[in-house]
Amino acid sequence: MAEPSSELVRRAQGGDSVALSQIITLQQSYVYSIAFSVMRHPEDAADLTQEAFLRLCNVIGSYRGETKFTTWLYRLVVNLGLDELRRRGRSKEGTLDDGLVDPPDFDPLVDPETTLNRQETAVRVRAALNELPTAYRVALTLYYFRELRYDEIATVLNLPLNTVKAHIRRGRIALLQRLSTPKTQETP
Amino acid sequence: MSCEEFRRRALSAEVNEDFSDWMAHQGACPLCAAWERRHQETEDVLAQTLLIEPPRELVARLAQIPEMHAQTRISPRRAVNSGVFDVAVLFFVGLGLTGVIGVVYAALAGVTLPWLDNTTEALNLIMSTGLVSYAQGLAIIATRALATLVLAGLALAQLEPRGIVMRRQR
Repeated sequence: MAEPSSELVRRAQGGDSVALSQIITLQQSYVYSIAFSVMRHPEDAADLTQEAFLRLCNVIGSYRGETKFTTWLYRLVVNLGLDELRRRGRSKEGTLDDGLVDPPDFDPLVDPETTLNRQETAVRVRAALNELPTAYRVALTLYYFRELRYDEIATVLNLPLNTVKAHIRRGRIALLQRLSTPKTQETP
Repeated sequence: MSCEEFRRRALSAEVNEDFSDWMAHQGACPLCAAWERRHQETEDVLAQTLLIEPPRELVARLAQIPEMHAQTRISPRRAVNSGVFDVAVLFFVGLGLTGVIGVVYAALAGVTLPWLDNTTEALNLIMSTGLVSYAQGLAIIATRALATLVLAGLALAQLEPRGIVMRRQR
């Protein structure tokens, strides 16, 4: 994940369209991925991505550097997405901390699947992700960027740190169970 | 550490946790070592899958945003100039309207004034003075509110970015 330099952000805040363009190019994959995890539909994700960058252009001046720029930007994306879900009446999906249940107990027999080709795996992963609650899905997306710490993910999602840790742990277990095949012959 | 505990911790581990006993189990248990290798491969696949490249059409739309934003962005100087221009226009429009109204009023004064006098006198007789002054106050407030709305509308028209909305129509 390419964190924009403070100089680049400062230039963008001053209205430099080249700097803004560089930030958008650096971040478009990440923003689109987050948007996809919130909205679960390619066209809705595209609209949310565009809306987020339009909003970014208008509010980038209010970024004060208290957090990483990407943390601030991703929070903007998540909030816009959740607002959109609530606006559409999908209020259950438009929240990150209610109505979540523990996944089934972790089964040590499950084994991570590695035999599928990448394309097939990608399809399966996305299908499995779409079955998860929004909170797990978004938390896992941010987690697998592999650049955000737990506390930064908590800031993006505006949730307590322990809640985020629980979301990620439960989400990973639920996802692994959906992607796993039992291989009893390797059971210890 | 049991194999189950090893695998549980693999799924909930944090970077800053002490992994010494976990690593020891991985070194001693070939089944868990193999499980962890597959787990890491799955983690890599997940990381690659969850980072999605935006479609080309969206990238093209996003590329337009900075330039369009720059075109619609109002510089402080332009904003001041624009504000002065608006005030001047409002002033002259107001002056012109006052002149026109004045001319019309003067032309009709011979007819209108006696009629207004009679009407006001009649109103005072029919209605209470308090009600008449209340109606006058209400009319003044309505006029002020209308003027405020017009000014606010002009101000918003200056601030609203034009031409930047290019969302797909549903």
